[in-house]
Amino acid sequence: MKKLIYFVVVLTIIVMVVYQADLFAHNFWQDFQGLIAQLQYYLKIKMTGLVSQLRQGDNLSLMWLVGLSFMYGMIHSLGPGHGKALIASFLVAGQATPKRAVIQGSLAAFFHGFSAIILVAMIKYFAMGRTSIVFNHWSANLQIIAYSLISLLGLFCVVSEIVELVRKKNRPLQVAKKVPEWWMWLSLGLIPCPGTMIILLFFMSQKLFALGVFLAVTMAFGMAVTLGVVGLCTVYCRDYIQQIRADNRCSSWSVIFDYVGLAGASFVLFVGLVLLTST
Amino acid sequence: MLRAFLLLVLVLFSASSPAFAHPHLFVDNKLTFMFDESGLAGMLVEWKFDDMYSSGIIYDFDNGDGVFSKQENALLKRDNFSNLKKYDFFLEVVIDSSPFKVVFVQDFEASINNGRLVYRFFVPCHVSAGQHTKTIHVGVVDETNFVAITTQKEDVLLQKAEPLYRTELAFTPTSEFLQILSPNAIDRVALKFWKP
Repeated sequence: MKKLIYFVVVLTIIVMVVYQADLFAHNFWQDFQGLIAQLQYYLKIKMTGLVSQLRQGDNLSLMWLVGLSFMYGMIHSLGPGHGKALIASFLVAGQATPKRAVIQGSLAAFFHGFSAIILVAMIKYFAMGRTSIVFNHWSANLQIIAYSLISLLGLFCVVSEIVELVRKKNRPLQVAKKVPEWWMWLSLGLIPCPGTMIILLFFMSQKLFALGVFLAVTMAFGMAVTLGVVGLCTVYCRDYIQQIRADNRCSSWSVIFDYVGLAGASFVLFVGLVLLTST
Repeated sequence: MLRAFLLLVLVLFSASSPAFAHPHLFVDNKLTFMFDESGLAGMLVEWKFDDMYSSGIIYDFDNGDGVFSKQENALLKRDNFSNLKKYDFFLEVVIDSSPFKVVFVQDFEASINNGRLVYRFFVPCHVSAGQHTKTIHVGVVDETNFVAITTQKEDVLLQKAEPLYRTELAFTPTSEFLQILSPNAIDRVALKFWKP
């Protein structure tokens, strides 16, 4: 009985702290996103102007365009989306080293950008119709597949958590099965980046498609830097908390962590299904 | 278990954001409140898209003459505008504390102005004027965050209000972060009007 009361009190405190943190994060995040959006807007204006200068023979503009595309990719992927939560979830679930985490985050960004480049090139060279419309149509269908994969991933996590809970009861040193890396890349890469499509369509309109592809790749490098940093931070965070637990400084929280873990896995499944049904 | 706990925190963090998307195109919004002899008739909305998106869409839909024909206009409306119905055309309207859902719009017209794509449409929204003050709050926001819409104070206008009605406009400023780059950007506008 005493253990149950203790459990309820601690759980209530956690819920209250998470709720307050969520409110703070919401307000801060909303303002921060507004600033990021404005920065992107100014970068786009600058890039459009540089293309006009390039067409007039100012070759120095090309250097600036490369730099701005890279910066645009970095800032663009700071916003919500781009699978940052998914990448972080995979890295938390796995045992990746910091180096491996950077590679995984970066590859996910490349897949996201490259799938857009491939799709736009297909639409152009196979004359499949208006680029923006065909792209959106394909993107919608690919999203259904990608969200199905995320839902399956959530289901996989739920099952893993339950298995881990049971194993821990019998054999405390058992480690949960690793989530396969390709699952993450496939899920994220299937959704083509609409930002890349807009840039490519713009360069098509300027009759500079090859340059557009080059700058879209540069932009993907920029996105890769941001997602690589997310991966690195996640692994450091994971390792730090695992170290605290290994030091037995908060062993009494283990029971709560067990059930919150299951709730987290269920939430991934829930988010996957919500995204799937809202598409 | 700790790994899964972190997973929950990360998912919560992403859920705390206003949306799951990030802006891909940018719109300068202009809002004109139109009056007639019985009160407010509705709002004329004008969206001017950013240069990059404009060039792409013009390339996709225009035949190269720099003007959208009737047929091109119809195609743009069907393929690139009508789907906004499910987002209430990005309009959040509250009339005297009651939400007003924008179900349809009229007179859609797409045009090209100095290389920029412009959408113009009318939102019918009849509110009769009387001795008592009527208040309408309007925000033009894409909740999914795919489109970043900016409204400047000077882009909120009134038409045919004087001399029949008295009016008052009040603006909710946008976040302090945004004001660094756009000092005149607003979040919401509140229009009060009454018969003198």
